[in-house]
Amino acid sequence: MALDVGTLATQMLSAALPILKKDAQDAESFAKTEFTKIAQTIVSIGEQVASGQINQQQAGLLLDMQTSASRNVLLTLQGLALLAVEEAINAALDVVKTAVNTALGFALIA
Amino acid sequence: MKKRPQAVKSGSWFVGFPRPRVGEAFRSTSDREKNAMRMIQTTYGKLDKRTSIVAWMSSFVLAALLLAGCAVRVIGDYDDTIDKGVTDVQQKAELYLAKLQSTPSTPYDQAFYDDINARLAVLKSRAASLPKYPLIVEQLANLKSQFDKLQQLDKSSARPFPSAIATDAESAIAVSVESILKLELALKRGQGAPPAITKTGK
Repeated sequence: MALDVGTLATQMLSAALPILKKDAQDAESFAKTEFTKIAQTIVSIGEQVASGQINQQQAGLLLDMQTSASRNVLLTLQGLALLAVEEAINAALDVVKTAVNTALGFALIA
Repeated sequence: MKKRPQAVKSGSWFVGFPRPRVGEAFRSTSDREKNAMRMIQTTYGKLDKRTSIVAWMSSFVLAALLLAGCAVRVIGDYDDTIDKGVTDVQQKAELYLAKLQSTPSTPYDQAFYDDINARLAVLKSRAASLPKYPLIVEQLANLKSQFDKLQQLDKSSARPFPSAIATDAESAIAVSVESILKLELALKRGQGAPPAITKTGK
């Protein structure tokens, strides 16, 4: 069976897309949870300043801590995206391996 | 007087004859010589072009085959020491902040911050030595920054320590730790070590 560009491309996409979609949903769920916590704390800090529980300097330092937390959430999302791409690429390459070995009739690529 | 074309330098694959260039006129009075050079020029040109195309296609196919036999890795692997280390840091922070909330008169404790700073420095060094770990290195730096801010708050706040500060600080640190651990655990990739590079690759 000869290798067909269109068929191979479709197979690679079929292998990669579900992985990207699943991982995107996982990342979205994590991001939503963490950003909700951060948002709640930021609102709380505002209320604490208004009520006099903390002063502005303390509020500034606490907001800096929330900024660092936000950065870490974004870095995790970046890492999860890289992992998703890696998984998708490897799945697509597995399809290439199978297609080549099938077309040749022997396991050229182990 | 005939002027013979100059030979190319030794080492050329076509030593003995000049490399023909398109449009170049050879100063040869013999028709036979002219025809011979024209044939060489045409053949050389076709061979050169054909060889170039074949070489490119072979390289592409070889690259595709080699790539198909290798697992791609764009980010580092799970590290148990960093996983446990970050969890330990969070546990110590939770204990200290819980103490500040339950006993607001608890005095500022420099030893706590020295301990946390030392632990984070060790973890950051470890992360920096691991391949493809820049994201977690940066996350650990952000976590250290949070403890620096907490230290400033702790040092500057009068006692009884405001419980709101302890609550807000705890929340920020928890989000950071959860983010780091989320990424670290994801680096396990669901199973063990990645597939080894195949024979076609090496």
